[in-house]
Amino acid sequence: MSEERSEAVELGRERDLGKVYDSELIARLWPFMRPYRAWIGFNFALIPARAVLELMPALVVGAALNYLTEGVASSEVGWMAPFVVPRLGLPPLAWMFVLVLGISAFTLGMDWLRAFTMISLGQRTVRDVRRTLFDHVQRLPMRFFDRYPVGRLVTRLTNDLENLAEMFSAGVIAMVADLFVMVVILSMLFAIEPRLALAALAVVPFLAVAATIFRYKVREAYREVRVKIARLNAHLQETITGMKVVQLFARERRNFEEFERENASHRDSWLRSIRYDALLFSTVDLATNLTRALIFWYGARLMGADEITLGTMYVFSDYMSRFFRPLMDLSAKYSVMQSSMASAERVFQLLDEPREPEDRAGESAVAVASGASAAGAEVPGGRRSAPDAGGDAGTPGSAPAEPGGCEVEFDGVTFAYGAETVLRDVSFRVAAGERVAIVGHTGSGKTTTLKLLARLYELQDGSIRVDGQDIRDIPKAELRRRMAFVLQDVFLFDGDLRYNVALGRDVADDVIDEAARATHVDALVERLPGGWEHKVSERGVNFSTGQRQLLSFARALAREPRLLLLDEATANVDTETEALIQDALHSLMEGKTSIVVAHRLSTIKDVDRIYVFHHGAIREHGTHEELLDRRGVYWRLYQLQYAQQETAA
Amino acid sequence: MDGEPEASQKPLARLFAYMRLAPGAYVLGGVLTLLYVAFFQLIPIAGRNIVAALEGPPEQFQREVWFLVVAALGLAVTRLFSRIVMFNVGREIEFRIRNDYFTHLQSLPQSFYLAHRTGDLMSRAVNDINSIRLFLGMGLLNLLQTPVLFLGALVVMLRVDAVLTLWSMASFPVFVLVTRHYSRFMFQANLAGQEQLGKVSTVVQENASGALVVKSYDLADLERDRFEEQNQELFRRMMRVGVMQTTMFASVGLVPSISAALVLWLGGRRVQAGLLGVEDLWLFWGYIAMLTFPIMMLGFVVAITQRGLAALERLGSVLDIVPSIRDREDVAAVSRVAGRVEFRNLTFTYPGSYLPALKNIDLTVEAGSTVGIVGPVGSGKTTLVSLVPRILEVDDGEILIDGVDLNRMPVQVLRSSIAMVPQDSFLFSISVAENIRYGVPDASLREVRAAASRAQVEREIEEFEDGFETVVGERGVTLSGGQRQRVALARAMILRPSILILDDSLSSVDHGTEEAILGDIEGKRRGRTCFIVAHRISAVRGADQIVVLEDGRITESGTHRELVELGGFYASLHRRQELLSELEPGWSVPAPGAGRSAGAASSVRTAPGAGGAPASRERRLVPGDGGAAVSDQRRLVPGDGGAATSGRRRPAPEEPS
Repeated sequence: MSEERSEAVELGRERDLGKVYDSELIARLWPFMRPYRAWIGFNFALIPARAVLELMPALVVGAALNYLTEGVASSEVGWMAPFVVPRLGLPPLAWMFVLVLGISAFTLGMDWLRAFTMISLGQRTVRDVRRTLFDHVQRLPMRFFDRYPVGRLVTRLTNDLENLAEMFSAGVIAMVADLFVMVVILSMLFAIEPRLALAALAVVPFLAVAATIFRYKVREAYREVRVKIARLNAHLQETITGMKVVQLFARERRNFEEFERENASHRDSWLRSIRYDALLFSTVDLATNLTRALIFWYGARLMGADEITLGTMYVFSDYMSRFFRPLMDLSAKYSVMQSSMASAERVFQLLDEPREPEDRAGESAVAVASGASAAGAEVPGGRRSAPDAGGDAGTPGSAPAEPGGCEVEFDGVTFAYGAETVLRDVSFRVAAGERVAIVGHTGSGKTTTLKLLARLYELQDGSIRVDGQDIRDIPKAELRRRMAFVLQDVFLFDGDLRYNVALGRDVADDVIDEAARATHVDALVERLPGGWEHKVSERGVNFSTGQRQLLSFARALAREPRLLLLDEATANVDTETEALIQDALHSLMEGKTSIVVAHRLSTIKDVDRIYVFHHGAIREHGTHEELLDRRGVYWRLYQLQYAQQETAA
Repeated sequence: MDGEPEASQKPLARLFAYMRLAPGAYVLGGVLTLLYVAFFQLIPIAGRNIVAALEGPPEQFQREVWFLVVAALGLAVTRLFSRIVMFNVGREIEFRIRNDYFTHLQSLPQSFYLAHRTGDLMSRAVNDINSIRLFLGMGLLNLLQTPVLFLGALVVMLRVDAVLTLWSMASFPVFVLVTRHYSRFMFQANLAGQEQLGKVSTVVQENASGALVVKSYDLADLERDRFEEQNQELFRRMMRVGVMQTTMFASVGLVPSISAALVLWLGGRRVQAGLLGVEDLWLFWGYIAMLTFPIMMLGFVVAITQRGLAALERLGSVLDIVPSIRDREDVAAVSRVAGRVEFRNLTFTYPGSYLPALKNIDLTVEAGSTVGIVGPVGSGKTTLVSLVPRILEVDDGEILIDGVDLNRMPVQVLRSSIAMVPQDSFLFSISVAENIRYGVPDASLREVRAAASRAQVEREIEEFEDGFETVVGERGVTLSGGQRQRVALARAMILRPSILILDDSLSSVDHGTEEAILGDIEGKRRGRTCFIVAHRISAVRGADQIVVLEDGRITESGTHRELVELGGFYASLHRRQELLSELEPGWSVPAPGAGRSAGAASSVRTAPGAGGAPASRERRLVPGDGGAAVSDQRRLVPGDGGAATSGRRRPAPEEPS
């Protein structure tokens, strides 16, 4: 809900969109367009040919008119003369019919090609940007995802990029082409008959002034419309989201008055845009017809003096109407450009978000097994200055896979989310194959400990070592391959069951089957239609909490990890499922190092050692019995959280 | 439960109902459009006459040129005003539809919002109203105008040369059919593109929401491939839309060219045969050029009309729902509420659910008394209190307010007598002050401040950059959970309700602040009925009666002492919270003398008149509640609404009026 709200608010914030063309943005876009530059070149190359072709049919018609009035098919333009001579044994009019139709068809074919290449260019570029953007987003740190609303991220990768594509299909090159046609028309008119050309252009200055004013007004009004509709929709959305409050506080009337005011203001912007839009269209219309009258009026004189033909007049009035046409949709193109630029800017802002730190080059070769603690102590609180610090650079590919599991060590770890310190100077060590539970009150930093171990966040101080090697020296992919992280909220992907257990890795069927057996997922799979191919719909709403937990266990087992990070869910499940989960948990921890944020009594009794976290620090540690005897924090925690389970059991 | 849909108005009937609101505009628009059509016919005629007069006497020629100028001016003016009038009335209707939609949504009960997602309701407002707008503007104008335009031109042309008319105009109807056909395909292709865009969104959404899994399971590469697959498909579909569009423009663009070329050839031959003058060719070309665009539009317009009517129907399906919560015929003549609430064998089931959320509830809350409601998550606590302000529907005879059936209470009187602080403490993205005076828009800043002070949030608000004028939400500050709760509380406190409902409204507030707030409420609440839903014993222990809800039933009820002695759910909750207070020193009151158990400390709190003042002087260290420290300091500031420093039972000054 809040995401939807923030999206709406963001839209509401959209005010002056500013630039129509931002060379800096285009420069950033260029690397994405570069692979298709041949197409851009092709498009530009077509512009002159296209302009000339567009203007030819009128010349043919002009020649035909001359033929009809004077008996000679004379063209107004010298180089057209050879074309209008009848060929193929056709009578003159039939030939000209063929000619006009042929040229028109050819022009349209060219138009098609041009539009096609532009759309291809746009869609390809956008596809490539989208790919890059997604890749970038995946490399952003967890902290980014903690604060950036999901909805906004989706908008960046969808709507904003679609806006960008519009720029190609309706933008720059089309504007250039329009301008070019206008220039060609002018030069041809002057070449044919400069005096008549001057007469024909008499209206243009007035039109130019009027069109500029109206276009500006239309644009303003249209921008207002967009801002106001965004605000209006944001208001509506907020009202729907907060309808309970609206109704509880009997605010309906007042709220409606506010809405109506915004709605009316939105309508008024529309009315303004309608007025100026209609003015613009009517003015262009009027200018076209008045120009036609001017051409007739002055052309008749020239014709009386036998200086021009009827064909010339036709050509002039045809060209002048083409000359005015681009003025009509210039403002539409203008707004397209404006919104494309705004979208491009937002997309590049996202691309500027700093990524997770990259893996250090060659670091996997620098295994620091023995000197790890020393290395960590060398530069306390910071990363070691050189990757090969510690002097053990000579043991490539070390950190041998101990069959039992990883060794984990926290050394003076301090961590804060923003201003809020979550862990303070936490140190502990877990030997290979050991099972350790972390317990503590809500907010004591338990889950954070696991997240830090998977290097989802960067430490402020201290170091974490896995198999004696600082995790910052292990490529993230390799580090995470050693472990399986079972989260409290089980996240299921849009796909089938097998996908959700294998998570796309090439896992052998027997591994999957074994994992399913050990976690009681096999029974679930058997019951579901389609078995492993059963679709997970809308992030797993078709699975119960308990089933989802079992699936996440199977997912972890299928990974064959050496280190298990388990954040036990607190959610209540029925007794039967609870028994299955406890049993599955036991299998899950077998034969590997396990660090478990525990909520179950059965789990804490199943481990070798318990660490008691309190306000971000380790307060006590030991076995269940030792800790109970101490009658400290753990004892009270036990009374609070676990004792009930004891009586229930 | 949304109420019975009325005999569904057909979309056209609904449309006419709106159009009837502005008959004058439509008559005027119709006349202007007809005038426009008339001038439209004159332009090619004027062109023809000029060409014909070229060889004639100069006065004749001059007259024809002036005729063109006048026709051009007439065309421009009628076009301008017919458009303005027709489009304006379209916008006016859009304005009314949107208003009606908004008003209607506000009148629908909460059960409607449980059944409809915000996204769907928004899509009606955005996409459907958009479709309706397109139809009302462009669609309607062209639908009315183009056929007349075409027929008029046809009449003129037929009178000049029937054979040539037939040849040159034959392709135009085909033209309309083709564009209509095309636009339907394009609509489908567009839909397919939008659908794929949705799939791309899903992958992005999954990767953002599931970033933790993607990272810890190292799924980035895999997800990238999955995304790329969808990305490619999107590319293909968008290309399809683009190619269809360009192909359509290219192919329909040929139609007028064919017509014009036919006029050149066949018309030319008829000129040679002496059947026509050269000027008649101008007439035909003139019409072809002018009709091309409107005729091309007609195909689109048919599609626009279909979509517009479908959108109107979708919107209608919401507008037709009769609000089930409104004053009935037999509404009671009640102008104020004293606050006695009685539940009589109440059983409530949410629409679409099989299991009742509340079963056989019998409970009487006397006016001016306080009832505490506790129970496990999902036991029906929120549902129970939500029924009182009648934002959900109940059957007759199940709830009585001051002895009057809830369903007969005037909604306005009822809701203005009740202040509820809902669980989610939803705030609007307006200023803090506006949020607090949400229920009394005319409240002065002094009253707003007083309410904030009583909700223990005034000092924190003052520390914001713009103080009470600070805008809440994305555009302004992001409030912490505790701050939001207290602002929501202030919003309720500024009212002077007969019934106050706190639905777990203090869960993110630290203990000391909670105590100060409760003390204030208790002080103020004489003559006011209070419902306090809570998870913490401390919030309800002082209540006149406490009920325990489990699985929709009342399983325990009595005073704090009675329930503790009963040894049931309440007693065990009580015990656990005492243990918790040992674990979390800030959780409860550290007694002045060291070594006192937390249990003793909390019983001090209940003892009326006992010095609970130093409560929570100790700062709570649990992260995520920065409010505690601030409120501690604040409570020592004199003149900050006496409630803060007073004990729970100490009467606080009456709220400002």
